[in-house]
Parts: sequence; structure tokens; C-alpha cells
Amino acid sequence: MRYTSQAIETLIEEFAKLPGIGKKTAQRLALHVLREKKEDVELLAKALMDAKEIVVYCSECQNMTDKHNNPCSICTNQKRNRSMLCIVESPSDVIAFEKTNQYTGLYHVLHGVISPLDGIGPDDLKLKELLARLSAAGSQSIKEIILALNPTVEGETTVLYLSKLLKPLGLKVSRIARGIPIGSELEYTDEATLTRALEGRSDV
Amino acid sequence: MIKKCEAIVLRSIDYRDQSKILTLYTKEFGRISAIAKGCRSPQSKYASAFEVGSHINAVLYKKSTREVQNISDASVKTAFLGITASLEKLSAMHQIVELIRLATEDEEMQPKIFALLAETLWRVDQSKRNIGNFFFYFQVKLVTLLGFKPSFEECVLSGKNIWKELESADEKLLALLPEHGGIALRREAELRGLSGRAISIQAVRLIQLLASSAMDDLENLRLQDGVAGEIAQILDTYFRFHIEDLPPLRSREVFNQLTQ
Repeated sequence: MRYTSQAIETLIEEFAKLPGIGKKTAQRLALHVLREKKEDVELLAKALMDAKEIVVYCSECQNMTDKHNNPCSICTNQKRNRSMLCIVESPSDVIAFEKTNQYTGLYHVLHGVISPLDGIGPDDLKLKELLARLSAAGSQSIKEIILALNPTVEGETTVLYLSKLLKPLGLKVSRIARGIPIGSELEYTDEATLTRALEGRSDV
Repeated sequence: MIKKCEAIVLRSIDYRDQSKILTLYTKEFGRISAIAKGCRSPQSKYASAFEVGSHINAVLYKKSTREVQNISDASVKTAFLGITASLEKLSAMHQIVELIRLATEDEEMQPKIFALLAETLWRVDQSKRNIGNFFFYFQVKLVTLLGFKPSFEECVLSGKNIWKELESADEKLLALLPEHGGIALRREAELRGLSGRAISIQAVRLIQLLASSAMDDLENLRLQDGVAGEIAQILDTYFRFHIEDLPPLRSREVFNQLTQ
């Protein structure tokens, strides 16, 4: 045992399991918890338990929402453009799009992408839910699907499969552009990104 | 020691928040594992270099005592962007990189295998049709370079020329005997009490043709679905016998679902 208390050691080990947290940071967090008032620590513990017990996948978009708020606030918001559906890989992608304040349509979260080398196929994603949603009577208003997946080999594989699946449904299927980040310099942009940027050039 | 190398990315796994652990097939050192620290950060100049199937130039900080080498710099040599244009091309590319990862050993330098890998991926990238042929071609050439060249000309049991024998024989049957290194006349196998897998003459002829064709011609060779399936089974059986513990290709299972 490295520490004089088994409880501290366990707490550090648990913190160290979190993504991006190493042993040193875990130790810092554990000591911070010990220094906090009991009520504050109880609030943290309650927040953790609530997140685990209350949070569910939205029955419509598969994003995360509270049990008592299902479908989620985006899916039930009548002010949003209900003719557009943006397909993303993870809930963090929804957050990224919402930050832009530019997209006002609906979302569908796949919770992953097709990864052939890892044996992850279409059955491992929330695709059945997507097709059920599109074929449901109330969703006839969806006219355009935007595929907003990462420009990786796995993302491209998923985009090709989805377009093959969705185009026969008579929907407009588009994908987000790939190109050069704002503020960066062409000189330092890699060949693959530059090629994609040239392919996706637009009229001015 | 700092070493420059040319490599194809066989596998890329996210590690922690900003790094990747890679399996590379390099011209200089064969198959190696390497870590690219910080390559997923927005500031990284070489994020695109580590996509599966990319042909890259890399700078390694290489230590013989380490199993996972450090990559200090990388740039794309050939991006193979055309491969992401169709599921058929992606299927061929994934099966090629998965097979070479499973069938080769760490740090066994084989420049001919590297050249075959780079050339086949380039052809998959450039070609427009019959892409599956490139995977079959790759399998036959790879197994040959690994030292298990299959015999499709002479009966592996009697040494007789298969095609001459078949011209005069009533029973035109062949058997696959991977343990003997190739194809045998069925009657020769039965005479010796062996029961190899029965295979069609057409499939063997096409494997021969695929193996002897120039890469330029492969996209012009159209295989019927049934024959393509049989060729895949023959080559898989042969590979599995000679490469110990070779599992079924995961990527093939996934792409079978995608192309159904």
C-alpha cells in the first residue's frame, strides 16, 4: 500500500480510471475531495449517482437526456427545423454543433462508427433506431440528412454505408465539407486536407 | 537512435486524449508498433498521416529494447484518397492491411512484402472496377513471399502436369492439399487415401491467371460471384494452414454485412 489509508488509495485508483486522468492528477483530486466540506462531497457523490441513474438515451435522437425529459429538449422543440436531420457519431458532436448556433435542425447520434478492423459493424450502431425514426409516420417531414462524421477511414466507411442505405428512401443526403481550419496557413496544411479542400471548393 | 522510414499504417488505435498507438509495416524494419504522441491535438501537423492504409514517411526514435517505438515526425507520402470513394475499395484495403498485420512477425524486414503492399494499395486506389481481384492477387503473392508458394501447375502428389493429365482424364476433379503445398489430381489423392477439399478447375485456372497477370490487367478480369467465393475459400484455407493461428478477417465479416 503506497498510502497510509486504504480509502484514499481506493479513491485515487477510481479517479485514475477516468479518461485523461493519470496517477498524479488522481492523487490531487482525491486530496481535494478530502479537503472539501462533507456537504460538498455529498453533492458530488449525488451528482455522480444521479447521472448514472437518471440519464438515458433519448428515444428519438439517441442523445443523452434525463428520464423525465424523454424525448430530449432538442427533439421536442417545435421551433427547430424539423426537415433536417444531422447524423453524428457521439453526444459530444451534438454539443459542438449546438455551440455554433448555426444549425437549427434535429440530430441522430450513432454512438460510434463502423470500424472493420475492430469488428464493429452496422449492428453495433444506433442505425435500427434511425431507420425506425425515418419510417415512423410523424417523421415524414424530414427532407435532408446531413452526415457529420469525422473524416477518418472509419467515418468515410460509415458515410458510404449510410448514403447507400438512405438514398433509396428519397431523401436528400449531404455531408459536411472537409477543408482547412480558419486561421491556419496553407503552407502548413497536409496534402490530404488540401486535396479535399480543392475537391470541395465553392463559387465566390 | 533517430531513424527515418517509409511505412504503411496497418492499424491505428486512439490512446489517451491526444495520442495514437500504431501498427506500421515499414520498408526498413518490417512490422513495428509505434506511438504518435499528441497527434490528435488540433495543433498537430500530422494527424492525417496516421489513417489506416496511409503510405507515410516517418521519423522514429527507435530503441531495440522498446516494444513500442516513438514517432517524432511523419508526413503523407501517398494519401490513397481514392480508396475512400467506394465500399468495394475500402473492403479490399481493410482486408489487405488486416491480413498483413496478422500474417507477418514483428521486426522482420521484408522489402519485397512492403513493395507488394504499397503497390497493391496504389492499384486499389487508382482502379475503377473488379477491385476484389487485387485482394486475391495480394494473397497469392504474399503467401509466396512468406515462403509457401502454392503449386497450381503440377500435381503435388505425383508431380504430373495437372492440365495435361486433365485433358486425357475422364474425371476432371482436383483437390486442395495445403499440407502438400498446393493442388493435386483427385484420383492421385484418393490413391494415397487423402481427402483434400474438392475444388473446381475454373477456380484454379483463375487463381493461376490472377497470379500471373500484370497488375494493370487485374481490373479487366471479371469474376462471377460463385467463382470469386470459391477462390476466396481456397486462398483462405491455404493461408490458414500455413500461417499459424490466423483468425478469420474481421474486416471481411463487417464488409460482407455492408455490401449485402
